[in-house]
Amino acid sequence: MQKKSSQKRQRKKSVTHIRKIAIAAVIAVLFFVSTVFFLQKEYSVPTCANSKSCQSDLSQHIDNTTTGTFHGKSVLPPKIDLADNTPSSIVLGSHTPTGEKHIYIDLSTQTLYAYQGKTLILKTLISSGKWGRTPTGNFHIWEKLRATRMAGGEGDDAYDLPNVPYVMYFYNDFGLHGAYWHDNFGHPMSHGCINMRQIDAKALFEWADGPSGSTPGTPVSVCDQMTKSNQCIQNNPIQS
Amino acid sequence: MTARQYFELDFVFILLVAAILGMTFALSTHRPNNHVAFSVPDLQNKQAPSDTIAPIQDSSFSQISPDGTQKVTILVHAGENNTKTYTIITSQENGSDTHTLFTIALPDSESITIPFNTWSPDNHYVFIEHNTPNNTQAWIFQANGQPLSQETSYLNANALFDGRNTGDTYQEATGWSSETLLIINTTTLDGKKGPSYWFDVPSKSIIPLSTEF
Repeated sequence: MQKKSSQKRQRKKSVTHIRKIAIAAVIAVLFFVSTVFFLQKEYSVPTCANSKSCQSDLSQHIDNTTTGTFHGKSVLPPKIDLADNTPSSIVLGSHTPTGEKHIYIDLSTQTLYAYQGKTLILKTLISSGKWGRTPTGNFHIWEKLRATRMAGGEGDDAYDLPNVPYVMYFYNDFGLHGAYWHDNFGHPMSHGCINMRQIDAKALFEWADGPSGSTPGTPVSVCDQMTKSNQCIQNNPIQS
Repeated sequence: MTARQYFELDFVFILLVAAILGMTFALSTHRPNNHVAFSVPDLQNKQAPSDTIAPIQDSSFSQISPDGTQKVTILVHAGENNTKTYTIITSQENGSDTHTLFTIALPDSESITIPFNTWSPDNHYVFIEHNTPNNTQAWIFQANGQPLSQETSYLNANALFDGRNTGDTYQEATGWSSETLLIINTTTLDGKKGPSYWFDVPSKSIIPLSTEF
């Protein structure tokens, strides 16, 4: 009788142990899954900078009648006249430097450098992603558009901006372009693109090359940081 | 089994170990650790784009508007008793249609500088920086030379911010978030980075932000 009772207690104890181990295993799996989810959210780069316009169309759009909106404020886009070919007041590469063109962006200092060979052509402040991450990596300009419409965001963050000027896409719809709706360069202000003053964007647009036949467009390197020893540091870059 | 039995100390310990193991395994297997470094041209030693433009004695310096159509210029003339006279002028990019916004004589210990983001996006306003030994003030002008209020030709964003008693200390104005909203960064009373604010020029209101710039 006593032996039976002891066996029963023993069985009950081992069942309790199994239950505990099972619960611990479930907890471990739950923590594993939630950590993986967090990491993917933290490190993954979205495929789009502009959630709405990215899905529809990445071609040239000129609209000189519509007013734009950015963070609930109405903004007046610049009028675009495709017949106006006035060159930029900043002419890049006027001394015809030789060598490969290359655009470098240092996200830590919010600075863009345009080089031709060893000659610095342009250095200016930019605004990278604040409400969406700017992807790091080495890319080429795959499309140049005089102007297009960019739209995205939700609720208070929604924006719809016609006539975004001098657009040069380098990764999906992540591009270099002029920004007429803010003047806070040197600080992150975008949804993932590289915002520039219109005057800088125009000069860069006229200097940089889009793809031509089998030749890719001007290379664009987006770096998390440029070190003093002239190293471009990229953490988890896009492999393109 | 009662709930109490479930939460015995050893069981809690097992749960903790399980949680840590789960997280550690996830971090070791799923955290991207792709670190790339390559050489670039000598970028760092090139002349940096100045955040602010500081004129030297008996000189002038300009900052063009983001669309390239207008510019703000500061003329500096050395005066008597270690003072300098600063004259702030706006004009078209080609120098035509000038408006004198303000003239002030300052001691050597103070100066006026033009920030990179001086122009509002619609070229309606400019803000310039008045640097004193104690702080840097942001003065906002209408680019067409018209006074912003009946009392003064400009708005002092610092003074108006301090008058609101937000509990934070004015640190700097970085630039324009939109046509009328100047971004102000602050520090908290213990010296840490505080929240950012918008200063709305037409209404002179201070708007706290959830986003830090």
